[in-house]
This record gives sequence, C-alpha cells and structure tokens, in this order.
Amino acid sequence: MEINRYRGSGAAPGGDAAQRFPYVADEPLVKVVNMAIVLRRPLLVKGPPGCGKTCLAPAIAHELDLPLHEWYVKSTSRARDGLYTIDVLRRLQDAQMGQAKAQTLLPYLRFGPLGEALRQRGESVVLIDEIDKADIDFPNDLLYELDKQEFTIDELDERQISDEERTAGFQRTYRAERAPIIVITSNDEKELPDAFLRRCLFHYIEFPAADRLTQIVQVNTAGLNLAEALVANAISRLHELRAVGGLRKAPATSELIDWLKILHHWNVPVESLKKDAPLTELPYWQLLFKHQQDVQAVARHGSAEAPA
Amino acid sequence: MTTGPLLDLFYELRRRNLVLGVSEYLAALEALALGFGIGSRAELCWMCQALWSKSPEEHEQVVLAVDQTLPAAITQSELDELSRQADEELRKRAGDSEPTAAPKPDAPVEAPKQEIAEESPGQVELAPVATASADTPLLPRSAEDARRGGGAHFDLIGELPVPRRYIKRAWRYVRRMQRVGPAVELNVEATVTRRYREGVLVAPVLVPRRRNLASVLLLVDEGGSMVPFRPATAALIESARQSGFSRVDVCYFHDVVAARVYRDPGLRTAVPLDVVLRPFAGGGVLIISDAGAARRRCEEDRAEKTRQFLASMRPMAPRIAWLNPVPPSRWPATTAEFIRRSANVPMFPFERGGLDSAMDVLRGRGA
Repeated sequence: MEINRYRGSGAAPGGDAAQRFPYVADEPLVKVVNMAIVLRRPLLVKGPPGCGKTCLAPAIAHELDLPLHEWYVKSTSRARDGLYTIDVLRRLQDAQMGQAKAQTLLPYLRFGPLGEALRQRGESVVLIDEIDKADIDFPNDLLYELDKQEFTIDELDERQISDEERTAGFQRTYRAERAPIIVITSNDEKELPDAFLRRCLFHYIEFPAADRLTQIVQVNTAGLNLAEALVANAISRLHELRAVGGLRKAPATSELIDWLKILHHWNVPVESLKKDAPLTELPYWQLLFKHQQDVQAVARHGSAEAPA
Repeated sequence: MTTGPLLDLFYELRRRNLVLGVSEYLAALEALALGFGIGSRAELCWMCQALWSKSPEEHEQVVLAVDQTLPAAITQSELDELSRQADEELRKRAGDSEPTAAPKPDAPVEAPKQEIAEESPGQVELAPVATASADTPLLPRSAEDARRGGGAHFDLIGELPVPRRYIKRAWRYVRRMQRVGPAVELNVEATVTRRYREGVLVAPVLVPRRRNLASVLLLVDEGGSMVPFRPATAALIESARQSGFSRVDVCYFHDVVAARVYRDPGLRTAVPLDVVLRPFAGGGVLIISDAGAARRRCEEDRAEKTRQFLASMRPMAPRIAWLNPVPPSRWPATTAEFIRRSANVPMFPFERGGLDSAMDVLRGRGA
C-alpha cells in the first residue's frame, strides 16, 4: 500500500532542488492529503485568506508529477460546467449554414476541468477553487460525480457516436480508471450542504507559527537572497501588526511575501524594521492591508502607543 | 462485538452533535485498516478530525472527545513533560523539600482498551500507554488542561440548543428563485422555435439566470434576559448571512419592538423601523425574543404595544415569525403567551421543530 506518497516538501519526484515547488505543508496537512489520496475522497480546505489554500493542489501535482486541472468557480458557475459544455449556439448556426458536422454533437463538446480529469486514463489532481462563490446548491449537484467518479453526457445519444469517434475516445459515460485527487477550497462565504460535507475530508489551514512562516518565506523568495535578519524582523513585526485588534483582514502569508519583495526591491535596511520602532514608521506597512479602515486602525493604534 | 476506543469516541462525538452515521464509522475503520490514525493519540485525533469534523469548532470537539474517551492513552513525551511540570510545581510549593510522588486525585491511568474491530489488520496501538504502577508521576492539571475546561466540569456538550448544522439546513429552505438581472443564459428551446418560425436565426433567445430573491430581516431582542441566548442568536444570524439570500439585515431592540430599532447590539445607532423594513417589502421578518418568558413576567402594556406594532408592520411585511428561545412550558402566564394569542404572529420555540415552522412562515407557507 502506497501510503505517505505526498511528503509536503515541494520537491519534484526527481528530487531536483532547483525545481522545488514553493510550498511548505505541515504534518497534519501532509497526513490529510495522503488520506484523501488513499481513501479517494475529495479534500475540503478552509482557512484565512492568503494562507495557501489554492496553492495546495499545484503543490501536490508538482510533487507527485501529475497533471493538474484547475476549476476556478464563479458566482455564475454551474456544476455541469465543470464536467462539460456544449456550444449549442454554434451548432445551430452551423446547421443553418448547412454544414455536415452539425449532424453530431461531438464537435461542439468541450470538457471542463473535472470532466477532463475523470476521462483521463491516468491519475490527476483537480482543484475546485472557492466553491462557496457559486449558488448554495452547487456542491450538491456534484455529489454523484464525486461519489461515483463518473459522469454522463445526457445530451449524447449512444447511437450517434460513429466508430471513428469511439476509437478517438468519445463515449456517453466516462468512468475514471484512477480516481483523481480532488482539492476543494472554501472561504466560508456560504454554508456548504451537509450531504456534500459528509463526502469530503476536511482540513483547516491555520495561520502558520513563526518558524514555519520563516520556512514559507524562504521557499517563496529563494531567488532573492534575503538577509535572514530582515526576514526574522519582518515576521516579528507582522505578528505585532496582526495583534492590532479589530482588523477586517489581518495580513497573512501572501501579504508578507509581497511586503518582503518590496523591501528587498527598494533595498530597505534591516535596521528600519527593528523592534522598538513604532508600527506606523515601518517602511511600506500600508502594503500589508486591504482595507482603508484597517490602515486607520493601525494608525490609531500607533498614535495611542506613541506617548507611552 | 467488542466496544473499543474508536466506537466510544464515535458515540461521544454523536452526543456532541456531530452529524455522524454508520458510513462515517465505516470510513474511519477503513482508514485505520489502511494505516492511518495508528501510532499515537495525536494521529488518531488527526484522523478523526479529517474524517468526521467539518469546521474548526468541530475540530475542537474532537480534541475534547478524545480527551474524554481515552484518558489512558497519554504518550510518553506528554507524560515526561507532565512529570517535569509536576516536579517544578512541587518545588515551587514546598520550597526546597524533596518532590514526592503522591497518588493522583483524578484521571485514573488505565490499561489500553480492547482493539477496535476485526477489519483492521493487526492491533492498532494507541501510543505507548502509561500503566498504573508505583512510579506513576503526580499529574497536576497543565495549563492546556485548564484551557480545555480542566476536568470537563464546564464542558457544555454540543454548544447550542439547536446544532449549527441544523440551523443552516433550516435556512436553506427559505428560497424564492426567480429569473432576474441581465439576460445571459441561452434558452435553447425558444431559440430553436424562433429559428423555425422566422426561417433564419437572427439572434438567440437569452433569459436571465435564476437567483434567490428571498430576503430576511432579523429583529433581535438584546440585553437583559436575552443575554444567555447570545450564542444561539449569533449562530442564527451568521448562518442567515451565509445562506445566499438576496438581502439579510439584523436590527436589535430591547424588550419591546418599537418605532426605533438599533443597528448594533450595543443599542447605540437608532434607525426608524419603517426605514429598515422598506427594502424587505414582501420578504420575511424573524423576531427573536423571549417576550418576558425567561423571567416569567406578564406586562400587559408591553404586550399591547408589541401587538399594535406587529399589526402596523404586517401590511409591509406579511411574513412575520417569532422565535422564542425559552421553552414553551414556560410561556403560560407571561407576556409571551399574551402576544402569541393576541398579535396573530406565530411564535415558535427555538428548537428543531420550531425553527422549521418559522422558516415555513418566512417562505410564505401559513403557520
């Protein structure tokens, strides 16, 4: 039994250090990913924004050297779009022009990311990103496909498929030979239905502790040769900024990496991040926030601290 | 059939309102058989969290349940850490006197329980287990234990009167789907029909997408006798916000719904109720209040004011339901009973059945 296939180191199967995927997974996450692989269940990942939910699927695909199918869900997405779409309008137009190809459906059939993964022969990784953006019934419409690892093109008549098309790999029902590894992310904007949750493994990615954050920064800024002291100071100052109460969106990993890149770009000296300097005198600190009210909250916090 | 740690844990989590059925138990057995969750208490905990819990709150419930059902399985390192803490503690208390091993007052250390089921190959070992012996170190409550509620004296199992998941499901039924907005969806049938009628395809027939147009205004009684019910109302509000309504507003009042309500639970920013109500014309209004039932009061003028007010609200928002967090057995001879009888507003207890009935009213099915 191949357990512990995913190691979370980001290294490709060849072990080439230069091709390391910049993603650091902690032990519980590695375990739950392996569980998802072995039990063939979708993995639902939640956590604060900017903590590496979306990057998990590419990291798994890289490390296991599998193709990745990404499905970025929108508010208008429908479950069937992920399996296949049919360009009915074009077919109608072609039929009007008297084109012969409009006789069959297949030239107008496009597979979605999940459909593509289920019809492929080999194993693959599927990312269903921000599933909570769509309507609250959206996840329920995927239950059968996720459960049975198969889907049917309802519009297609089995008899319509010619022998050539059959040899080219077209059929009415596709069943996955090897279950894809499915990673689903959610931002908790909408409640997910129970029936859907029951079929998923669940993992919550917490904001990383200082040492793992350092590691994450290192792998993400590998090319920049950042000074260790700069990273360490920036992380400790980030924790101070996160501790300011009442923030709408506390700065997370992705903001920290952007900030460090800017600090590096402008050659900001390490001293300007030293411990006792007020938070509002940090270079480019506004970059870490997404809301004007958060910037104001930090500024207020700074002015409250200053006289002391 | 032997009972085992996994089964105990499973039942404990069911008691804590996690939605677990036979298939979840079988999934855990399968995972164990495949080699997950074996080795240490933490691994078992991770496995159960991944399989059985669906939110950070439920993760915490799993940790609590593992603590409760597997008191014997403490790993060696935890044990070492605890005994080190015990030594320190003793030294602090008794000055320089020698630390002595005293018998532990609670949390008896037991032998590991019988294994889980026949399906799993080989024995599943839950960590090196401390057995009761003469040199068992004194184990005081660590800071971690204290945070989790110490000896579980205040561990209120399953945090709400109605589990969060049930609240969420109840909200799901409040839907009013309509095609509104820009026409973006292709109506194939109409397009083909038009093509044959007109002989040539000029333009496709597009229709707007279906959207949930249901809107809900929550009027929440705040302060005083409603304070104990805050977690429940908070869950109700949060769940409503995540249920895909076209609009959800929350306003607060104290004791009596009046011409003015407040935007914040601190009752500071007052707004006229008719302004709040305007966007909810035809939508649902859910009032959450104990109406004096918590303190068993009957104040007729309060009830009369409420009645008048509800009557004036009805033309604008005909779908009004009242959720009362106090059980119905305590309603008689209180303002709640008076309002229920005179105001013609259906009042339901804040429990599963009551919640469902209230949602029925909100979506326009008579009480």
